Amino acid sequence: MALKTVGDQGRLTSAGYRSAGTLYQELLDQDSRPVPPVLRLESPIEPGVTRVPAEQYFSKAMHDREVEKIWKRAWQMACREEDIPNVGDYIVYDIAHLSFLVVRSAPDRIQAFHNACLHRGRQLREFDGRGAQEFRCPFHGWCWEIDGSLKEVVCQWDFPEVNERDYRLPEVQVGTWGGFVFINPDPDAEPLEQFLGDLPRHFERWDLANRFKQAHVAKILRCNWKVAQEAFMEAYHVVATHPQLLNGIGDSNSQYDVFGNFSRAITPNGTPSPHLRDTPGQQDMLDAMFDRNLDTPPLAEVPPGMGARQFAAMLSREGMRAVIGDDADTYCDAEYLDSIYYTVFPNFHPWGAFNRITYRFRPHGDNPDECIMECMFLAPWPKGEPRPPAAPIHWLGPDDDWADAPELGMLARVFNQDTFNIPKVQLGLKTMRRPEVVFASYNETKIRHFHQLYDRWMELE
Amino acid sequence: MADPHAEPAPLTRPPRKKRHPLSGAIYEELPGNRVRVIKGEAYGIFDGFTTRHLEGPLTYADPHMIIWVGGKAVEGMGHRAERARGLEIVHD
Repeated sequence: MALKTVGDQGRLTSAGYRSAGTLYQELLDQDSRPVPPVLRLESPIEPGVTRVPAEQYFSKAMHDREVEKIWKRAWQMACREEDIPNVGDYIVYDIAHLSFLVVRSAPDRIQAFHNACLHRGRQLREFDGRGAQEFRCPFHGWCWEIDGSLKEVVCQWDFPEVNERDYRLPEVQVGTWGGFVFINPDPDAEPLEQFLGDLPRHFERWDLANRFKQAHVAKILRCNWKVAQEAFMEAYHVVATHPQLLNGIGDSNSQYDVFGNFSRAITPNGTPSPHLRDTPGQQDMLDAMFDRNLDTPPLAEVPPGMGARQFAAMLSREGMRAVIGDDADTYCDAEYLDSIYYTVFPNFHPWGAFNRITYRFRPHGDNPDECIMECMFLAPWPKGEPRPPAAPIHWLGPDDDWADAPELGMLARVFNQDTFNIPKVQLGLKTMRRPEVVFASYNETKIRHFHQLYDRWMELE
Repeated sequence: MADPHAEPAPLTRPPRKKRHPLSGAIYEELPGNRVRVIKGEAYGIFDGFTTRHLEGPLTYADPHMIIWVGGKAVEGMGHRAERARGLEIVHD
């Protein structure tokens, strides 16, 4: 007997099987403004499902291999440039058991060092700091300038072979893009610009360097870092995990694309889910977007002759006008409404247009069953005014509620739905009978693309 | 020590109430971090954080809808004017 298809029945297109709902490019045809070419780009992954061994998500051996093959070799986002605005400001960037000091050593220079004293190996710093003039080891007092040159050795007469040349702090590569600071511990790694490929071109209209970090929340989760990030790389989960959104979100008709070392999804808002049996009215779509409750008046009413999508874009455009002035008119409806979410291998997720989200996922120490999920909000600020200071990290423990971070607004409650699942995924992966998980040909494009790159970096092919 | 049989404190804001867009069931927030689900003739009451069944003949309902309706409120949210500006159109 044929398997029953639930919800979106799908259809065969010239590009392969896609949603039976309105395709994203068709939605763009209805935009009230000219649509930028970057949203017209289509670069689908080759069709076919991807199977991944479950043990990749919990094996300590796989974690150890990730440290050697990925975290010691890949470009990774360490912080924002605005996190270290002044000379001597530094952050401690930890990934698995590796630790790096990222410091602004001169007004226009950022350097990064292995965070360990060259005498007995103690970490030089455990916490972020401001205005350092030197890095003195708290154990025996060896000291380095903030540019990594050796400054002082206590009882230097007792170390006749220690010299300035051989005992500089070992440096790692640094690159910047979009206001982010990236590091790479591999001295032979390709330049960041080459690794990112076309990514800067995609963000030409949405210059993340000219956004300030409005919020930064980090939470420890009881799951592998890949389990967590894969929960944020597709809209396929919306039908089951965020059902309250369905009247106003195009989930299974999202568009997915792959480009070199990064991928992209675009999930339209202000349009109904193709899973719904009955098409909701325009007001129903708007109500879903604004989380209207039954028995309460609407937050806004869709004017006659206008669709929810166009109206919501107009509201958002007018809200943004207060910040960016009449430049607000140069952006199309899709740029105000849609979720345009990129993934740069291995763990960096900047969002495009005016959605403020950037995610980072990383292992929590050497425990493959835990990770750190971070969400930054990057927002524009009013023209002519000084850049607001970057928000510090607000840490949440594994048992804290996302709503304890009110700076995330409604997104905190959305995260509670997501993170209700993922510790249970981590447990389920260890007890499932089949030895592998399976990812959808199209709707899980970004995860499939990640695993293609992962296998290559891990030398598993 | 708090009396475990005491009535939970009433909500200080209008209760959240949603119709499930797929099943049509009604999910309504109750005081004490509980959620009442009505589906057809049956009802169930569930813990709004853990989704565990507490009472009533309906013993299972959509856990994510329970969390959405019954979860902890975000301080400062619910300012209608701010939300209607369209800046909080979010999904993850």
